[in-house]
Amino acid sequence: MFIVKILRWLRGYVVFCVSDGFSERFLNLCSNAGVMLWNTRMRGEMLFSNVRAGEYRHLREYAKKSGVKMRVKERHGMPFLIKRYRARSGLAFGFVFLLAFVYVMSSMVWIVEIEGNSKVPDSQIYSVLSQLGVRQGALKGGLDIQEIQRRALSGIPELSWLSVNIDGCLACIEVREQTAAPEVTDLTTPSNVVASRDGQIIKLEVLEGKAAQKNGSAVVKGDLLINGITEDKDGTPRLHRARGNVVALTSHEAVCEIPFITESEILSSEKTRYSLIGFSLKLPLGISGDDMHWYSHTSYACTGETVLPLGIERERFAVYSPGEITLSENQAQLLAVEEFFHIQRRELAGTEVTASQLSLEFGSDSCKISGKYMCEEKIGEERRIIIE
Amino acid sequence: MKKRKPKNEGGGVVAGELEIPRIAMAGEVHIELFSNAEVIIDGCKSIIKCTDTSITLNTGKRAVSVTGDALVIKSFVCEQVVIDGEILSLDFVS
Repeated sequence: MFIVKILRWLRGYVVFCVSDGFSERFLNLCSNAGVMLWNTRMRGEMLFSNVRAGEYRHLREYAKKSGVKMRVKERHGMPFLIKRYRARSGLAFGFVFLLAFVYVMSSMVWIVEIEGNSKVPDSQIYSVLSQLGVRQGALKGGLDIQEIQRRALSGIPELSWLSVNIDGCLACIEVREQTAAPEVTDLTTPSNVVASRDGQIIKLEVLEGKAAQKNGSAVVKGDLLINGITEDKDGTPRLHRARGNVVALTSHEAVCEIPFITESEILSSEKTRYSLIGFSLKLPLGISGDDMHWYSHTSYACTGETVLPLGIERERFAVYSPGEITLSENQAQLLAVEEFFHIQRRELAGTEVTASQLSLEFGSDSCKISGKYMCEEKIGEERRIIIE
Repeated sequence: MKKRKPKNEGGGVVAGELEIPRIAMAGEVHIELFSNAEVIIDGCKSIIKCTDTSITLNTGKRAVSVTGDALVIKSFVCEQVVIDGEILSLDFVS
């Protein structure tokens, strides 16, 4: 019935009333002529009924024959709506455009989600899939899922399984990573373990070979720690791949000095440009600054946790020229601290600090931070035995 | 007084003898009543009388009168009438 109502609305219908004369005869004439009337009811002395807009004029003949007077009460449906808003054709165009826009937008991939990976980064998977067509803004109808899955798997050897599921505007990529085969230890190549750094041995654990040092021994870089050559009881030399853990107490130093007057690049001019981002399209709202240093920041529209492929990118173009800058003590200290922590992180990688001593000094022309550390670290380094 | 045997009208004779449902025979009026809210009458030749409390239909041999309240002829096409409203009674009028 709902469909019938919609069809009637689309074709347009009028509600009319009939008075005087023989209304029953009027109804019979209409029925005999095949004119469809509906919702016919008597209210007082008047008969009300509905008829399709195009058929109303045919009723005049039957009204005349039955001696009734007809009058239109209401007009409903799309033809009347179009007539009413004929002067505002933009509305219709807008509506059609809206429908087309919704249709096109809903046939695109809006969001690409990747699930099931822990070692292979999302960016690598997304990069391969976007080359195969699964990317934001891609038309769903043009994707050959089976072929994409096959080619994506061959493009990312770290994956054992990959599935592309298109659900509405969401492309969900489910992957399973391959379990790496255990590394085969090469026990045939003879080698020694030597010290990679000066220090005092605090733990010596030999897995293969013969210990060349004792706990508490002081060693310098290059000293033999575990010997890969052993002798049998009869004096026959035997070659091993020496293995073991050697932990030593070592000392490290880190120094950073920032002069108050330093050469640097000074900002001479800058320019900001905004661009609209829609899927993989970018619509710049200004002119870019060529040959300039630049950085950009993109803000995407979000709905809850879902990031939509629509946003605004802000690009900042800047021109720097070489020059000298004079730092205050605080500025120099801040720069020194920042630089010092970089150096410290690099110097103390793989060690465990047991004691440290830091000092900050302000000279006449610089700020200096220095640190001394006592650390525990593994100093065993494998070195092949070359046999001629 | 001799009791008159009810006359088996029209196709009813054949239908009765062959035990065919009467609905299969042309020319018979077929009435379906849905509770007291809607009645569908097939085989209506014309409308005899139409008010908001009573609608009388010509079905050939007999007239059918539907009485009730706020009666509406939902459709009247191809000898089929659909009447909506609060139906109180349905009578056959000779």
